[in-house]
Amino acid sequence: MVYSIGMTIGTVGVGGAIALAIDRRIRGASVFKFLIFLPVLLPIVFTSLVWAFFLDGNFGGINDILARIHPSLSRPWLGDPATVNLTIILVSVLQFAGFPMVILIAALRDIPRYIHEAATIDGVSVLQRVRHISIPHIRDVIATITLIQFMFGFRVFDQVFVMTRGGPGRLSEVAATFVWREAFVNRRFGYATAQAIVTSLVIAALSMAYLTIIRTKRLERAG
Amino acid sequence: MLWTVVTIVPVVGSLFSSFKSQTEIIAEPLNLPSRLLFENYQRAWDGTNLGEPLILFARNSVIATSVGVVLGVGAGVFAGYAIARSRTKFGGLLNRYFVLLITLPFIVTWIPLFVLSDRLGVLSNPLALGVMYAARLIPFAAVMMRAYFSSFPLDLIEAAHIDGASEFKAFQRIVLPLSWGGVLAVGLVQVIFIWNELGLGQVLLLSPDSRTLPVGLTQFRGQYGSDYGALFASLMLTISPIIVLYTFTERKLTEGLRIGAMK
Repeated sequence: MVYSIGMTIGTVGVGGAIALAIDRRIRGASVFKFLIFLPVLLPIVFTSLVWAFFLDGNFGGINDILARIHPSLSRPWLGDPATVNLTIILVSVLQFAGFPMVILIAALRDIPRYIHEAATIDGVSVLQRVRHISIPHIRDVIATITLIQFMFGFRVFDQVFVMTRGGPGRLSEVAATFVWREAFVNRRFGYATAQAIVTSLVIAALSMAYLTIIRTKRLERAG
Repeated sequence: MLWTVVTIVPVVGSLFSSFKSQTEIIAEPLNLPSRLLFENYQRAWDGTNLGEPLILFARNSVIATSVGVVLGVGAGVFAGYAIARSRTKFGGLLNRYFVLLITLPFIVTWIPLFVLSDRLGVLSNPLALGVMYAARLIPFAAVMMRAYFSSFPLDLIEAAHIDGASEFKAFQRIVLPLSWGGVLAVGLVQVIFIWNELGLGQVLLLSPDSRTLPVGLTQFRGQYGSDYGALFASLMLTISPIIVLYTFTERKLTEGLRIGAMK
């Protein structure tokens, strides 16, 4: 649940910001787009193993840099109960922000140019244009991608499995690692199946609720 | 900008590390390699750093991916066309059913598929895993292809009918040749998906020599004695096909994912 919300806000927020930035047609936009989207296609196993190594408390490298800034910043990121979940979310956001980005860039491209041009002539600032033109135009797309990322967040397995196996203790346990452990380590197939089904129902219920809210809002706007 | 740099740290970092010696990796994890060591790749490819040589995992991944994509896209294309052309209630119903299947979380299928594979005696069989991936991806391919076929000009098909072509002939001779772009986009997405999939593989591939690349890589345990150079070389070998594919098909691939997400 924490993962789902954290990852949704993270990926959609960052992805959206980058999409808006790239839509401003900065130099080298296509190169940035290419590089930011690349990790989306890579195995989660890959990114997780590499980050787990670099974030390692003893010889990871990231800690050396952080220690140079301030000694208290250096810690075993994935072993410390205080930071384990935050770290996993951050790694996931880093990998997957490119996905909402690509979708939102496509949506932004569909906004007719003349609206922006007219606003510019009327002396509307960049931030105001983003707030009053870009975001309202892609609101539906933002809603859809938010739902997709949310459901995706519930399916998290690979990251946790590779980086922590649910540890330390069971602090980073998610639905999928729980089902895996119960079924294939503890051999409690029935219990694990029940868990999997309950999880699916929760996702379905939350998605339905979300869709209903979106629809009502849309109707309200339409008057 | 900064975001881009941090995002590609794993790729660049592991590329550098794959050419470093063991001491260099541990002493200076983030620096450039002082000289290029290719032995890491040799050890990764046929060494036993991960229990079995990487070449075996690569072979299993290729089997599972090709079976999954050929069957999945093949069946998905036909199903998608049928739904797109269907004028009855059944077509719409089927489409909804497929959408429901797409949103179904993977974890629900793990246990039934494990029990089923056990009964059929196909545990630890990458070929069978490929068939299961196909089954799992048919709804996805069908819904995407339906979206693609729906915008296909009907006039062309009707013209073919007037010339005496059957429904299947029209599909085979006219619709399909003009739709390769869509098929390719769907296929690419599925290649990437299967190549990267961990969960189901982890559950079904029990014997070490049957593992696919992602499953094999999880066998690595971080310890001081571990061969990190070979690990990073293995990682680079695992992702290199994807990077090549992405570089050549960026547009198609992002388009495929975008259509897949929004329909």
